[in-house]
Amino acid sequence: MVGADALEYGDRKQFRAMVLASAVGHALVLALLLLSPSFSSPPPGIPGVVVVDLVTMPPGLSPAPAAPAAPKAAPPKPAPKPEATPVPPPKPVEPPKPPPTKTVLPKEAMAKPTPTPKPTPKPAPKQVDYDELMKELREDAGEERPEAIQQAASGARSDAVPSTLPSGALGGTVKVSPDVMAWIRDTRIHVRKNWVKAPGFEKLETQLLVNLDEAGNVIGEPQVTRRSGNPYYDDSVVRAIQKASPLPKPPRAGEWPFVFPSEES
Amino acid sequence: MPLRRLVLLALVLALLAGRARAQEENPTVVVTPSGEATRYKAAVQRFAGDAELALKLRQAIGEGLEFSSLFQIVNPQAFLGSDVSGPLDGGPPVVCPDWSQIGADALVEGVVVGRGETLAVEFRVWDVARCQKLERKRFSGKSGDLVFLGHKVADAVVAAFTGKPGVSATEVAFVSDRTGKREVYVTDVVGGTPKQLTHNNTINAFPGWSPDGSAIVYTSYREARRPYLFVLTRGSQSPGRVFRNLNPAWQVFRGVFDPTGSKLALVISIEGQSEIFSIDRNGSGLRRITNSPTLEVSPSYSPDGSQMVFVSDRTGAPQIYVMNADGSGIRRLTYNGSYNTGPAWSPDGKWIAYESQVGGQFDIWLIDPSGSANVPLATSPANDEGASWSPDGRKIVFASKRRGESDLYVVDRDGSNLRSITSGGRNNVDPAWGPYDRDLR
Repeated sequence: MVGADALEYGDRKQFRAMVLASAVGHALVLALLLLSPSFSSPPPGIPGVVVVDLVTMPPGLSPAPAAPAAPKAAPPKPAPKPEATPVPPPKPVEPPKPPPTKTVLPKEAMAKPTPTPKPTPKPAPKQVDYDELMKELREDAGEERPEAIQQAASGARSDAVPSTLPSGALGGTVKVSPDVMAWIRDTRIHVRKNWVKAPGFEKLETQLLVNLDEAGNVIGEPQVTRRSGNPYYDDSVVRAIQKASPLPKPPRAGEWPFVFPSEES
Repeated sequence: MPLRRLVLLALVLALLAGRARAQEENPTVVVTPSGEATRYKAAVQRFAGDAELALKLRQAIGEGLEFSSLFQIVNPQAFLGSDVSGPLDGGPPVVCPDWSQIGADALVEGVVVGRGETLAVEFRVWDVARCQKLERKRFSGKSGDLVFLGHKVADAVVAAFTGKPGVSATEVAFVSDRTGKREVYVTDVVGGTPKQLTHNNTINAFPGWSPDGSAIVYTSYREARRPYLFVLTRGSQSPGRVFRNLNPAWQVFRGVFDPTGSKLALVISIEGQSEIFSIDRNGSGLRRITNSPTLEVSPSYSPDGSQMVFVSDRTGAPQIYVMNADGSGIRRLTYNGSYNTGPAWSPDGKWIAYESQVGGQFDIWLIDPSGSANVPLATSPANDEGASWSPDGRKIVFASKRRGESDLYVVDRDGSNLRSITSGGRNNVDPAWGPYDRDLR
């Protein structure tokens, strides 16, 4: 606007007329653009990608002059015109059919892989922690047999604690943090040392609910939630829990479900 | 009334929901057995009463518990509680922490009283960890039965903890040539001195117990140098020949009681061909069970009496077969080994012990009645043979020449805790483990 203030009055009048004319001209062009059918949005059936067959034209028949004309038309006026010109080829009518069938399946397939990258990075550090933790625990427990350790790490032995464990007697599973896994491992070793399973107890299983305080002390008598059918077997596992008290310090005080199968599965 | 029920139902549901929530929160700790044999620790007090009797009794209880392979004894010097039992009624209360602190699982306390020729023991068994009284019993006997009574106490302690009595108070019948002739003997399975039952200076073989332990049937050549069956009843010195009504031309090689004791399976040789028969104990109802041109010997009943395991050489070499008690449904059980014999069905019906010739010597093997599991139990370069089950099915007695001459050995069903129970004789063979004492049945 500084330049405009410096103009003479006569010049200003002329300048205003020019601006007015320019505005009217622009308005006209805008109206033309909006109202012209060639600039309307493409019909809904036409996909965004159009397949075009390229044909090599015989020399002498090349429409070379027409091609450069398009880029020239773009800067001054609305460029959309040259884009509208490729529409005429009749072949693009076929492609619209395959895309819907193709796009439906790939979308579903693609939708799942994208979320998976999220969980994969999370378990990785847990496994590392768990392995290290298990090594320490085994060393503490005096389990030095390498084959047993390998089996435990691969989950072959029952000492291996999976990252998800059954929760209580409800049959569901629950994700288990490394500290809980370590406690389960430690508790299993500790209770096992205090359990005398007489020969002849076969194909039995007793489930208990054990109330633990924060220090691992067994509070009251463990509650048998599912009997094995052999009262002496049930007594032997209750006895084992009682004798094992205090258990290793649990991650949290409360009721913990225990299962005592008579055989390793 | 309905309103009260509704309130009760709501309370129960709320309780269950609360418990379910608690279980849902924490993962389950699965504890599997260690695979290694573990034992309960038992603290046995010196029983009140005669101190000398009480000390001997404690030693016998300890022997019996150790023999079970399920208990070990806590040294009395480690006791925090009293070494001597108080009276069982009106005595000081048992302080369980005193016993749990020294690692005891079981506490045995009691009273022993000797009056003239009689002896009485009364005792209590405590589960220390739960501080619960598990058992209170009274046994009595003659003055010379102190060790036997101690073993009975031990067996009752085992029953209190496992549901099945121990077998330290049982006996084993066997044949020994320690006098130069093969006579039948019986010995306590723990620390016993063999007692000679037959004195006929001929050949005696294959002793077998009646299920109630009141009689032993055996084969003897004492009459006319031919094998006949004789039965010796407990307390009697004069065995009697049985089944005299059988064809005198037949040779009766062996008799085996069925689980009810009302019948016996017999092995009879007819014109040089051994076959299995069954007969009522009173000598009536003789029935032929097998009928084959080959040898059929060594019958042993299944615990329910519905089946019989036996040996036949119908395929050329002796092998183990199973059939119904009436002789139907014969099927071959063993296919490994060229010479398998001496089968004995376990009291729980789950296993059949037998001897198998492997590499020139006989070993004791176990096979399940379906034939799918077949495992060695006792192996050695010497011959192991003549397996017989303990009444609880936890142990097996057999004869072995591991020390040169044949002696009797006991081993746990898993092959552990091998120990000899005889020594001094030249040959001790054909063991037959007797049943539980009637007080423990």
